[in-house]
Amino acid sequence: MTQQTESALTAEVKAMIGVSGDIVESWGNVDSEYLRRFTQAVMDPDPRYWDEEFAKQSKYGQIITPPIMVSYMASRIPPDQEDAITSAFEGNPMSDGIGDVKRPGELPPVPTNLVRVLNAGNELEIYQYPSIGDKIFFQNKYSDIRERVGRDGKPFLIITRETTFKNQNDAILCITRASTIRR
Amino acid sequence: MTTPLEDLLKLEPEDIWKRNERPTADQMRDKQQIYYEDIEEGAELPKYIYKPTPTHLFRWSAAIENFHRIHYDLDFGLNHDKNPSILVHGSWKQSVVPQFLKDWTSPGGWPWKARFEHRAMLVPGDVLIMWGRVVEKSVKSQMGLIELEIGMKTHDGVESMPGTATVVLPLRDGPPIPYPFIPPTD
Amino acid sequence: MARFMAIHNVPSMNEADFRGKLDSVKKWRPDRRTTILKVYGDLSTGKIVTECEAAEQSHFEDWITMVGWPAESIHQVDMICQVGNIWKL
Repeated sequence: MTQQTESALTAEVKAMIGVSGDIVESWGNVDSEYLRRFTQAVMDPDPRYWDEEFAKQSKYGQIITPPIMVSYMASRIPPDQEDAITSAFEGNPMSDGIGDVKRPGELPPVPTNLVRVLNAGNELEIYQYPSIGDKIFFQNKYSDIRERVGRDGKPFLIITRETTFKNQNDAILCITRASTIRR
Repeated sequence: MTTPLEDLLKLEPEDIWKRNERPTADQMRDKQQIYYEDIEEGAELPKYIYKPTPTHLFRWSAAIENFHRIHYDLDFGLNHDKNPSILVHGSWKQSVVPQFLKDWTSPGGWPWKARFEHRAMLVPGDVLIMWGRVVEKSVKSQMGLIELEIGMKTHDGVESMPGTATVVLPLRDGPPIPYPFIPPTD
Repeated sequence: MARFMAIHNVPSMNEADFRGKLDSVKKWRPDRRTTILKVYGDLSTGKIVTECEAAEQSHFEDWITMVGWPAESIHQVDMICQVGNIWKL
């Protein structure tokens, strides 16, 4: 880092490492209809998702569901909220359909002036298949924030947001991490 | 025996599609366990081939309630975001990965973890190849750990999702892989 | 990235040729940053209009050479109206 280039990893940014959001209960529960739509959309015909007799004989003893399926339950808009799509377009007729929609459990923004956002990678860790009927709880956390220097000599940040998904028994189902570059 | 990735990429898109190895429901029912000892470094996993259409993209958007217009609104995608067409979802690609690993390790193995990056815009018209290759193997806590290089290439060889994965296979004379999964400690 | 359009004269154009020039992704998307978004053809006169998103006009011109449809004129596109949606590019 040259004397002229200030670090982007300020004390305020470093203080965000480890910051967690609320534990949020996703709307609804893991149900067979969502399972059908999801597995058909990902094109996975595994009979352990829909053949009860076969699933009972498997090591899991019951119908299983793709663990990453519950990660999309986190973005469900509860029915007691104002219609999010209508609000988004009222606020911005050129809305992209998602940008202005507030999602539960969001983390506070990282206090940086680096505004350009690029995807820097994703991770999945899988521990247990969710069961039909499970309630899903998730929590976001800034698990890591690092600084790197680009080829142009300017610092940028890599921010990793980790989300842990658990069921009503506090069992960890899966952990996802999404890293973004801010430059 | 799977077609080697480098040979597959020499074929025309329609011929790549004909070599799709995504298992049917019956094939998943009948799948035999692969054991740690059966696997050699350098081995390639079966190739999962996809031909996404606008309707596939709509179905995925609806299934996960993703309302981002770049995936279904061609006018918006072309003229607001300047994309080459409506785009295949990163979230869909991300959901293919655990299926791909689950299928290979089934019925008694475990698709433990994966990491990958999203690169390259994928559009209807692309033929996509989900691939994996064994790079290393080791035994820990009486479980066979297999390190994989994975990705999703287009028919013209562009890598859209470079990544790695760690899956778990049982040892031929070893104990069952625990479920719920407990990571190895040694 | 910028938007361009071109007007071509291809008197010998027929449906089979039109399809053959455009019927696979690599023919309308020659590289990851050059996309032929739309092609209009009047087969009776051989008049063709193409629309392209590319980093620069020379990339569009490379595609025009590849497809073999001489361009009578090439224009930058600043504004579009599509089914009532107006876009300033």
